[in-house]
Amino acid sequence: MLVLAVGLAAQQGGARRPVGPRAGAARNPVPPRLVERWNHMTPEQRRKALERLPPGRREQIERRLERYRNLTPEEQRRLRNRYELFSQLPPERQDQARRLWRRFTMLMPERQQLVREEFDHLRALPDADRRTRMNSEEFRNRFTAGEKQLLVELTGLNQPEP
Amino acid sequence: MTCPIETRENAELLLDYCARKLDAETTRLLERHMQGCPACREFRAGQKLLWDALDAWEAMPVSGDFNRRLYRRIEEESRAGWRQRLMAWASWRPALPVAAAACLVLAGSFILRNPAVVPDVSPEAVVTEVEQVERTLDDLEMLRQLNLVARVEDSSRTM
Repeated sequence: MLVLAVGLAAQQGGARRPVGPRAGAARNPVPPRLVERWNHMTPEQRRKALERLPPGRREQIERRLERYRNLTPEEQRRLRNRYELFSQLPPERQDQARRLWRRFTMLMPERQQLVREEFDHLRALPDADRRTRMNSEEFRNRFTAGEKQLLVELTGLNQPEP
Repeated sequence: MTCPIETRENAELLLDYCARKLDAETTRLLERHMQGCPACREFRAGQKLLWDALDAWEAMPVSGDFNRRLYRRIEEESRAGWRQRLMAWASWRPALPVAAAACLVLAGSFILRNPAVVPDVSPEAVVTEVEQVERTLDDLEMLRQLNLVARVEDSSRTM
């Protein structure tokens, strides 16, 4: 038993027990390796590990694991890189990103799509062009006040730290 | 706004709302949604009842000599306890080698029959790991949909 327990600790990256990002101290990355390990569990092992959770939470985890599993190896690699970079941000910025993400998920799917496209567009622009775009008539008419605010904060999050 | 109950993706939003843990903007959005969503309103009402019941709950007053009686009882039990433990140990002593051998056999058969199962870890460790997986998946989903580290990616590429 002891050998098995030590084996598990080694599999998880030894003593580097990650601190939860929601706790606000997430400089230490929780490796997506952990997610990958869960993806390689048998359905029975996963069911056992998740059985204490309420059904809604359990389904959400299963759904997201599935979504991750369905990414191509290249997409998974890119996402791991993003995660690695995200983990290096200061905890306050990470928490801010999560708050903005929550607000984003509360938009209707079609509005999410619009905001996402605009965000991708804005972050590719140089600062001056971005400001021009955000002051444009089209931008003002296209988004609600809440969405505009969200975009401003999202692009602000993308700026390098002062 | 998508309904947190229907989508289930944001179900914890409602709990955070009831616990007043949401930021002002998210609270405002959710309240606006609740105006038109009976399911969310019903959930909120249920949570409110629960919180009200917890707020109204009062512990029974204890008698004046409660502490004195409690400590006396603890002392009595601990005095009787070591004698009982000693006797119990003595009566089980001859069976110890047999019990140890049985443990070895059981552990051996468990390992042989379950070579690839998840190692036997405490429930707390499992819960912690589940929470970590959940948080990581949350973050991965966020980063999959919104490239929030684009500038960092750019600058690291030029380095």
